[in-house]
Amino acid sequence: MIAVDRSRLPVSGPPRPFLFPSITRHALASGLDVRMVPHHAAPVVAVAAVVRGGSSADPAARAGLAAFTADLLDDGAGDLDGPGLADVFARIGAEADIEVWPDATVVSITTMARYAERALQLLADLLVRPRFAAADVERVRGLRLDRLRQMRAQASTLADRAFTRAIYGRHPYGHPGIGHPASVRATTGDEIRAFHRATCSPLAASLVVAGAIAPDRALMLVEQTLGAWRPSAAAGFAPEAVQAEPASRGCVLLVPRAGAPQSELRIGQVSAPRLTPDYHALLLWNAVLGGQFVSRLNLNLRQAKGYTYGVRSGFDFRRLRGPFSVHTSVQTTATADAVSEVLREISDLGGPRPVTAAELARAKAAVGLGYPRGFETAQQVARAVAQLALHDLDADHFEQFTSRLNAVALDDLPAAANRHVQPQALTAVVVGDPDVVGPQFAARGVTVELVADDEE
Amino acid sequence: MDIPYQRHTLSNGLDVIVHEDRHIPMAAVSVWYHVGSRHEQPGRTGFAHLFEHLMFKGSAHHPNGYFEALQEAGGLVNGSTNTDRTNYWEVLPSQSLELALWMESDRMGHLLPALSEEKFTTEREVVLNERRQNYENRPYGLSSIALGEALFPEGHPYRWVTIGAPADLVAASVDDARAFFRTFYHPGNASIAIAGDVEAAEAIGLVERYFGDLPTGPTVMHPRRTTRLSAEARLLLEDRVELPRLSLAWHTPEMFHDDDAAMDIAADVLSNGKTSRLYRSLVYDARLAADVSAMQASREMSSVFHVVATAVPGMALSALDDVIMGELERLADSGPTSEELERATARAEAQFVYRVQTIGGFGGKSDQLNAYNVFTGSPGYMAADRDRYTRATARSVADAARRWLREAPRVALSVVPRGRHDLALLESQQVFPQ
Repeated sequence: MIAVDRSRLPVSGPPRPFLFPSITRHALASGLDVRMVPHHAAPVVAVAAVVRGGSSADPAARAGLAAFTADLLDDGAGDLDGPGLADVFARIGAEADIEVWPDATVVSITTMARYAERALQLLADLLVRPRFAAADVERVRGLRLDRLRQMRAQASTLADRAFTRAIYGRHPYGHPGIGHPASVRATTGDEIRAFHRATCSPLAASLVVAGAIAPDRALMLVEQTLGAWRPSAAAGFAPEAVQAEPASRGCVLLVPRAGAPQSELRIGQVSAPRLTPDYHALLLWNAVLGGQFVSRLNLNLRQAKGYTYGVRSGFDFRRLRGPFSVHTSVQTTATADAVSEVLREISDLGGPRPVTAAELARAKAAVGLGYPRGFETAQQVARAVAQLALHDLDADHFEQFTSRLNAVALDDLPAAANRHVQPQALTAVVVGDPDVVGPQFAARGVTVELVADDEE
Repeated sequence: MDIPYQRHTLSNGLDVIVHEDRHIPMAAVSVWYHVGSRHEQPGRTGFAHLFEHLMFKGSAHHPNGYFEALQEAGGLVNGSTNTDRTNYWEVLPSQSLELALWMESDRMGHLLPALSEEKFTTEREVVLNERRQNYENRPYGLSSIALGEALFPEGHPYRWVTIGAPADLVAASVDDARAFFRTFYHPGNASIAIAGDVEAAEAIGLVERYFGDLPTGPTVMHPRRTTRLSAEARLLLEDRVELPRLSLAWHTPEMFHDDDAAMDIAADVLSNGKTSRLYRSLVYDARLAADVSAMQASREMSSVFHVVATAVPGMALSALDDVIMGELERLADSGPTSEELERATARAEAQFVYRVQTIGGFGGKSDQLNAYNVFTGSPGYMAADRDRYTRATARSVADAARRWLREAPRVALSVVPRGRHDLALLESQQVFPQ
């Protein structure tokens, strides 16, 4: 046996080839965009419907309407009430996974391959035939109000909410998806039904079927279950309100939480949309800054200073300009130091300490080499293809990802970053103990604006 | 559904388990050490977890941190500690399998020369931050500490939480870390599983090469202790919360016991979805609670069955308690209906299928092979594990509910907003968990 050479790490061979899932597309007569993706790793099928709209489609006075509507989809649909649906879902070992994103409502079901037909029938019921019974509307309203009430005690939620409001203001991305107590109280069953009719249309939707099922069989099942789905006369959601350009503020905001044992921080601004040509450059820039464990922010705040359990940064890429943010929870006594270190790390990248060639090479390897890991399960594949649909990305997006990443040059980074992150435009939100945190900022001459967690 | 594997034990006692799965060009490495917070001593709680952090700080031949090299190889890296075991894993491109094995073997065999006072002190700060973030600064975050202290007597190895007490963490020294490593971190107390785009014989050969010369250590004593409550304990905890929450807990049999599966099924019948008994009676039909959950928390020595319900604003927890205890009575009397049992077993069966979708990470196939190997001695225990669920009957679930819930005392913890003792169960004793 060859002795182990412990003087250096073993050198890895070249990456092994990977065939990304092949996607078959078909448009039904109704206009519904269907994408079939065979994936035979396990006897599992994942179906996902992406309906464009999401919480950014909420009317200004009805924050939370999209989420309220989505929450009711599995509370009674077609021939079954809520418990009836839950019974059928349980028998196929599945549940309805309903998510409301800023740009879309996504309904997905993962089940064993032999139940693919049943899953599509259930999906069709939820999308096309929800009941929105008055009693269910009231019950779900109560649950959502309770949830909103509980969120007032969660520091991380307070931070997210204050940050979003501060950077987006009245923009359709500026309110929490769950809405506010007043808007949830005011929402009527008629408004929910009208919203569903207007937004949940085959013309606004893409359907992904991924997993252990042949594309032609998948398409046949989709035709059977969703072929009759037609846009209603009321359909006509146009995201015109979403075009409003958000404003950035550039300041430190403090949400007081007396006696808090840690401070929650969010630092960022309105930044890039998903379709920015800078997408790959920004992924790499962020990997260096704070997108992974070994990154400038985490090495500084966690490893060197011990301020935090961890710090991460990231772009939330959306159809319109999404937020860039740094998020962490730090020791109360180190709050102002942590904020100033984060701001310094970001401005250093655009100034005295730009990304080095070695950092760029490491970031490319870290982000690129692990990429196939995101295509392991049927559910992951369905979600990845749902992203293609939501953002109108090319079918070869997955295949091209690594080569586009590797094509980013060192010189591209400062300009790309500067287009989307400007140190002077960053807003910092602190949720912490004002008696301890306030003087820290005062001693540094930093103006802090106290903000209440007003829920509107 | 099972996970085919090959197993080999090195002469130093290290178990090697390999499972081939070529769906993605990735390899998963999972290393389990059979040590958790139950191997700690009172006054030194939190040490197993703090030690887990130290394992990422570097080893003799690679002293400056473990994340960078693995991250640059395109790998994901993590670890976790619970009461019974500590695990470490990588999921990385398969051409870098040797890199992961080099690093895992270096820290298994050669950690201490790289362990400095400075690394120890910084990492302790990180862990204290982790504790404040996830316990003190999180609503209901101290509940698990209060429950543990009521369920288990002084000195019982499950009495403290894995994160540990801040005072104990502060008192810990780098010498404690060295002694801990020598006692628990060696091939004889470890198991390595590799899954993914690998060839089994080749992978076993690589493990032999990288780990074969590491010396084994002393035989590890695994605490074995069960306990019972002699009487009900009612506790009150004030917290920064908006809604009061009732947490009930009972001692139940250990992981892989037949009654452990029966209690899993009981939890499903009680709280999984809109057909479940507690969800219907507390949330769906009457609006007494904002949420409810039941769970069998399975552990190696003994388990705990939890029922947790959060009251709607202004509702006293005694109203929730009456409904919960009524439903438990009913379940203990007549067990689940045939429909309930069908649903629960269908869901359990599906979970076994979903579990074989990923090669690594928390809960992936390599993690499961190690779990079965370390806790039962057989990596192929999945079939026997699953059989417990197919064997369960209405009668066996009723019997388990009667024996472990109805006929045994419980801990009842009321977590209430500050100053709202009126919402707690009557005669609850206020606690101040540290």
